[in-house]
Amino acid sequence: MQTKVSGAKTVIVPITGLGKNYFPFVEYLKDRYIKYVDCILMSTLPGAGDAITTTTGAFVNLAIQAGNTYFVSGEPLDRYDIEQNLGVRKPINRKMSLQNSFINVTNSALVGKSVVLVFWYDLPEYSQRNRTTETIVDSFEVSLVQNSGRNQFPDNRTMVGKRFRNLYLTYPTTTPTYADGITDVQAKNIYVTFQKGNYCVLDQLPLPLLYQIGLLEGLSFANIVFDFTYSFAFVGGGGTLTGYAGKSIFLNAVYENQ
Amino acid sequence: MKKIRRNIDLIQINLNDSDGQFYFPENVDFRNRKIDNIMILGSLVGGEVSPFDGKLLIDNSELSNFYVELVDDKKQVLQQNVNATNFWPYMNSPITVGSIISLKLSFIKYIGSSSIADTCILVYVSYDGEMLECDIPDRTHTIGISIPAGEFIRVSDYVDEYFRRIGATIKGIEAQFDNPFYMDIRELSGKVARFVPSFMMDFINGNSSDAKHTQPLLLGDFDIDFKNTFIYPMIPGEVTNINLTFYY
Repeated sequence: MQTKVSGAKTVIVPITGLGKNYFPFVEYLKDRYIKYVDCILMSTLPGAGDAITTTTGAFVNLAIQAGNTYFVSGEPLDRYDIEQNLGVRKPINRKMSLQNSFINVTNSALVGKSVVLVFWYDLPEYSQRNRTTETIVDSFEVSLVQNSGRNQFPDNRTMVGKRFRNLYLTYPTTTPTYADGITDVQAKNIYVTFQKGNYCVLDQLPLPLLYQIGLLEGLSFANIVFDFTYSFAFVGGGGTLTGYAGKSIFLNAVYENQ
Repeated sequence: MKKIRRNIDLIQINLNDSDGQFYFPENVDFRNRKIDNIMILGSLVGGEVSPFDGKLLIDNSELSNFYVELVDDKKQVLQQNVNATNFWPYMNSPITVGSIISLKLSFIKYIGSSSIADTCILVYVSYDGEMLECDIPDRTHTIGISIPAGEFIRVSDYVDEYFRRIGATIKGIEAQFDNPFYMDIRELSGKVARFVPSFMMDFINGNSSDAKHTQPLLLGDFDIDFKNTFIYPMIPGEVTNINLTFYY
């Protein structure tokens, strides 16, 4: 990603039938300056229902903030798929009306499932200019204690109050604390939420989006801040999955050295 | 577009099953120099060997169990427990360093259960970078090279006399290849890019589903001394065919 983002929010769009399937109204994204929109094929959703397994036969229509004009019409959903596009995100760079935007579906295999979209946005009051060019890279692990639902982040004292520029996910088989790392397949069932107080900086972010190796463009955060004690990793699947408890999500974090 | 004028050097870290923690060997070339970023090379194709002693590179899949710790010259830990896969050659947005590194205090540790004896990893270091505003030039010169099994070549034998005489300053290099190779690039002034792996020059070319770089390997203004620039196959005993494009 060429420009910095301040936060992200995941929006689940249910595909109820062929034809137009409107996005839900998301109060929080109203008046937000959207920079990019990603689609990712997850294995499970954070809530009930199934995620789509293909982007074929789905066409995206995005409305301007006034809701009466479409600045994207009939664009294949494939363009938004972060894996197919090797990290080259679909640029939006405007405010938009979600409730007037829709996905036109022609593939009956998608009906009854849901599309996972991630809206990356700019929020100047939280994203601040760089105070220094020097950065530190550290690591933290999120130990999964249950196979579904919330797994809280550890209380990390070293990185309290730091301003983060990037987060890198990797899939080691053994982490530095000698725990088993999660696999790329398991990551497709995990959503992470980074919170600062009650504000969700990265809200239900699909975990694989933090895996940036081999991509043509990487993520870049505008010095975001979050509290470890409020943040959590959510394992989807509604209790049907096993093999997560006892494993660790291993992340490297780049933050300002000050 | 921004580009980086840089030197590229490398160190080899030999691995064994008994230590688990491997310190960086001292290097006089970039000691007390500002490091821009590092890159860690394992075996991506299979069978690649070190250009120094022919030791086998560790398999790339095992790199996810290596963790890097970099300490600067003020003994401050700059990077701690960074998974080595974050430094792989195809990273388009690499983790930057931007400081002088104390090599003797920096190390890479292995946490895994496989045998890693008699293998090695290569750590490439880009140092003394200088940011310049410049577009990638659209003038190119492409040469085709076929290296017979078990041999290496001198690049001047493949660059025509005209290209050598016009005194072109090379801005970047792109390579297409069937087997990987090292290119040991020398500049007339003495600047070096030592044993640069072909993976760093693998520029995206048309539609590709593979990981590629979004720009050629940018060297800055490099007056290549073609007579002292050599190409070595990474996998011994394999014929290597290369199309090498110079941007000037």
